[in-house]
Amino acid sequence: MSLTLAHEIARGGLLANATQSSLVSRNISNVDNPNAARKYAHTISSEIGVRLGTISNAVSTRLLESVLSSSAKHSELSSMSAALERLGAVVNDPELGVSPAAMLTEMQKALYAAAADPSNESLLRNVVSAASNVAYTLQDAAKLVAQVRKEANTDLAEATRQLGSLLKDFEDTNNAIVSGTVIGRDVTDQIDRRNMLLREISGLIDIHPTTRSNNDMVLFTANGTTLFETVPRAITFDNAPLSPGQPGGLLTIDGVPYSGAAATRIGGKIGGLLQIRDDVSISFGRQIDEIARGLITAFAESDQSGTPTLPSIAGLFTWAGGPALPAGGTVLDGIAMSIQVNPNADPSQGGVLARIRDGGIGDPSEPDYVYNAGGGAGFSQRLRDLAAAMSETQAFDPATGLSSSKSLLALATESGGWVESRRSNTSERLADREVLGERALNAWQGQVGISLDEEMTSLMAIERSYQATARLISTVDQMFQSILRATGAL
Amino acid sequence: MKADTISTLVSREILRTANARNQANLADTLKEFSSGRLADVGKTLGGRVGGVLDMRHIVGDLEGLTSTNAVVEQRMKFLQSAFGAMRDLGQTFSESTLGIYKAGGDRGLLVADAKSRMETLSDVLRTSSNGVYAFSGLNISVPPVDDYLSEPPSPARTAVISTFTAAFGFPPDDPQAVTITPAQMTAYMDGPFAALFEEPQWSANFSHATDEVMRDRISQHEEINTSSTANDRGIRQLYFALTLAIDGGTENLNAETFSVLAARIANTSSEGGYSVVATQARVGVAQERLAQANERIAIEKQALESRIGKLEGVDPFEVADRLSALTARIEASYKITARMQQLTLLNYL
Repeated sequence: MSLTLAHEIARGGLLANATQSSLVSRNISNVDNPNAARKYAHTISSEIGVRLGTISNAVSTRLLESVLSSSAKHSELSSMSAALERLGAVVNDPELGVSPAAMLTEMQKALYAAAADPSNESLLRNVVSAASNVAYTLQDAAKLVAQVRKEANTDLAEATRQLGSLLKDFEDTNNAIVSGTVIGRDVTDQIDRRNMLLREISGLIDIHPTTRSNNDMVLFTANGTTLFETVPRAITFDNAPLSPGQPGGLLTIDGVPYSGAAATRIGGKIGGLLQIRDDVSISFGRQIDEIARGLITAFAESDQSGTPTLPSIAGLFTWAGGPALPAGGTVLDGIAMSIQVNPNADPSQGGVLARIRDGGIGDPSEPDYVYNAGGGAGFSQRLRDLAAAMSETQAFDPATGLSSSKSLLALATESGGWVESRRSNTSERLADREVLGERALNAWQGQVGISLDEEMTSLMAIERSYQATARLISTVDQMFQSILRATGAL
Repeated sequence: MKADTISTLVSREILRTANARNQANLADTLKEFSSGRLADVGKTLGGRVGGVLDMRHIVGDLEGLTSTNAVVEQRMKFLQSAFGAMRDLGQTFSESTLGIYKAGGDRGLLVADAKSRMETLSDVLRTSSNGVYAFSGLNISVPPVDDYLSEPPSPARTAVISTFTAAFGFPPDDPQAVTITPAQMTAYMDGPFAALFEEPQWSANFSHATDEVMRDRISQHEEINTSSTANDRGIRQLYFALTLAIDGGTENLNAETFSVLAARIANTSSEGGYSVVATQARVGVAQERLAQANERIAIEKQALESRIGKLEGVDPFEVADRLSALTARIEASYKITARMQQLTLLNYL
């Protein structure tokens, strides 16, 4: 081995050292970057010294996949939980008594109180105010449901747009990685960036990435639709205005339509929003609509003459389609939006209080709807019947997701339980998911992330190896000098 | 080369998220500690909220019943005392009529006694309890009877006088009454005069009450009659006796006819007293049912409230325990965080 070769080897060592220390400093500067993986290069030794192999990223595909899937699950649950949290406000703390069920209880109480003292105007006035509270509560609940759905729709449009732009970024990064890999360039920073994009995309929709040759990545949705292959697939969202009880516009990925129906759940924020818009809110909205319809039906007035000929009409509670009654047993979407106390019974709107006791609210000009034929102020039968009607079994539409044959009050309490059980369930699953997601992320970052201590240790090793190389060079130099001196060249 | 290390970021992050979670827990626990109820009832109970709402509904209903029952109870007490007064009135008037007749006392005294008792009777019937005329049946906003002795004469009194005049050809206070025979008087009392206290004349002249009375719900499944009516048989009999004494020509009748009249007055009056007792007994039974219903309501309400409390409430000892464990954990977490910050090679190189 010639001295020149030894010199060359030492020079190669210096180069490797410089590259190693630049890697260490890259790693140290990335210590706080949650998306950066640790970069390393293997040292390759040969007869002519050392050189560094290609720079690689620390990789853990399996852990990354679990990070992606738990991030999709987490954001799905968190968007649902946020919406349910708002819907749960309809029930609120049972002690506050603001739920439709509590309002109906107050209404029934007011009716019974008035029945005990039917000539007392202030008690009849209480009935009217309890009735308006019921109507407002139902209207507010229906508006809240519509609002939640509308916001979900807006968020969906925004999330779809975001998904499109993320996929565009993904395309650029993926292209850079593929072309860089082909010519053997350092693509680790681009891979970090692509991983970051993967995590962001998985927040919006559940994705399953597959890596092909040259580090090329293909993305599929949870049920196998292609989301990205070399280029992003077409994603469209029909942001049509919503109508109560009807599913909103479809989201289409690569020609496959998605809605909130259970069969086509796609996870992520988008999946969660679709479920809120087309499943949970529709069911809850229909429950409110059925409470409103049941209320109008329970307070309906029928022909009291000996041979009844007139149809039953809406009494104390009426709606946009009044005085006709809504069809029985089937949900009428959006009826809760227009439920109101009949002005004919409300003195502040020119009505007559005593009609609550005597009947004839629906059509004051038609004496056959009057229940109190004798006109006595002590007539309490109608008031008691109305109160009892709230506890009587009615037929409700099974589309509410609740049992279809029960009393109005039972429907209202069951509906309160329905929304609270969903809220509680979702928030519990979200809490679990948060912990699991954190674990997955910690496991992944722990594996591929950068440890300052480790970098410091390598830095010390590099320092020592630099010293050794320097010593080698100076030794070779001394040997050269000795030879030159011996040959008299110096 | 990858030794078993863990990234610096993760080791910091784990402590941070653990701290954040503990603090969120602490906020909830503090709320539970101070209120004694679950921090978020809906979230904790989930579907059981339906049951809570249901129980709260029943409690609300029972509360309503408690307050309406108080109103009903007051009305029943009033009825009870009114019936008591009428019963006494019937019996004592019968006794005093017989007393005056047997002692051959002043007939003017009998008329004066009848008039004062008539005032008592109208007073009792015309008193309203809480704005409700309890003897008006369903017509609770109007008094059941007019004041018989008012000036100008009430329709009832006019009807009595004109019936007398139609039967005998002269008004009751006419001295010619001395000519009325006992047979004539009996025929009058059984015929036109008695008809005044039967329908349709009774409702036309005397009563504004309806036969139907108010009914009230006193428990979740029970209803009772809670008003009465001046059309009650006993009350009509009392009116019969009193109006006969006042406007039956009492002061001018001959002795024989007066004995027939006095006997009928005494009889009817005491019969009226007895009839009233029967109605009073029915009110008593209703009162008893009301009292029992109130007792049941109180027990049921207490039971429900304690069940709601168990569902929505928290065990203060358990919460206190949880609170101290949490604070200890947070303190430990702070200490460890501070120590961990020191643990880096940088400090030792």
